[in-house]
Amino acid sequence: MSSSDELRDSRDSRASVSEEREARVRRRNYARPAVDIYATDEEMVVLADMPGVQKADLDITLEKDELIIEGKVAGREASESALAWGYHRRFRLRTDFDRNRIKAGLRGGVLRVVLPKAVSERAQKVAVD
Amino acid sequence: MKESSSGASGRGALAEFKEAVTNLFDQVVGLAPDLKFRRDFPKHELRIEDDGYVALVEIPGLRRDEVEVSISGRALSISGERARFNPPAEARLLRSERPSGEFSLAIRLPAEVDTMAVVARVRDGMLEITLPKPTGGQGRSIEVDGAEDAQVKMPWEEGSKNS
Repeated sequence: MSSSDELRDSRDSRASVSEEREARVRRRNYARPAVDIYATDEEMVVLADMPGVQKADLDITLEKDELIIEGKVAGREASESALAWGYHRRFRLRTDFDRNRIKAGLRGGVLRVVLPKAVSERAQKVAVD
Repeated sequence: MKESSSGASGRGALAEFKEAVTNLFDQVVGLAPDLKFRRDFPKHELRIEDDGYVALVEIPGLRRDEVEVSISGRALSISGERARFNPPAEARLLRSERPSGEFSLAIRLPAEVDTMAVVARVRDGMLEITLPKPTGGQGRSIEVDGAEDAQVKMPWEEGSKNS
């Protein structure tokens, strides 16, 4: 199979005024989380290092063809920490995924997102008579 | 059976040097997925508080029994190993950015702390070590425990005689 179903990093294109300050803080103090990504015939799995993030402060969005992962580390901004105040990364999805069955879990600062491929994207085995 | 000489864990200095050179080469060429010498892993910070210090270390995915913390005087050391991520056998790895391998950190504290009161804990992939300042006075006497006539046995004396 080709690498056409790889997740591509994408850029923040929208820039509403209200989100301006937040975006600035994010650019300066948020880190781009390191990821491992693997794919099987049925699904794609993204693992992202987001140490310090708690479930309640995690935000995973699927917008059209983009997967956005974002997480805030509680208390970092207030303490002006030199460590990441949060994590932010977006990926362009080039494969059709079953949006209703996407699952995410967070454990020990590692985020795991499972994206099941839409049936049409799966490799089909053709029976030979 | 051969007995290894004393000193460094039985490995020759030449072997160690060779490994260091190989690691350095891999790192420069960008081949090193196991990041023994990577300086930015794990990221950490020493915070100065009114009542002492707090060391924060990012160790995503590690359990508390997978890190070791020790303190000796003003030297705080943290070490551990993060296993390399292995995807399922039938999977194709599309990206591999998350660092793995052994790591060790040595943090020099600006001042003495109450080493007996140091507390370390792991939560949400962060190791947090609280190092309180000594309470009152410059020093304290340490009580020596044990029966008055108990003799301290050194490790090398073990088995040399049976009393």
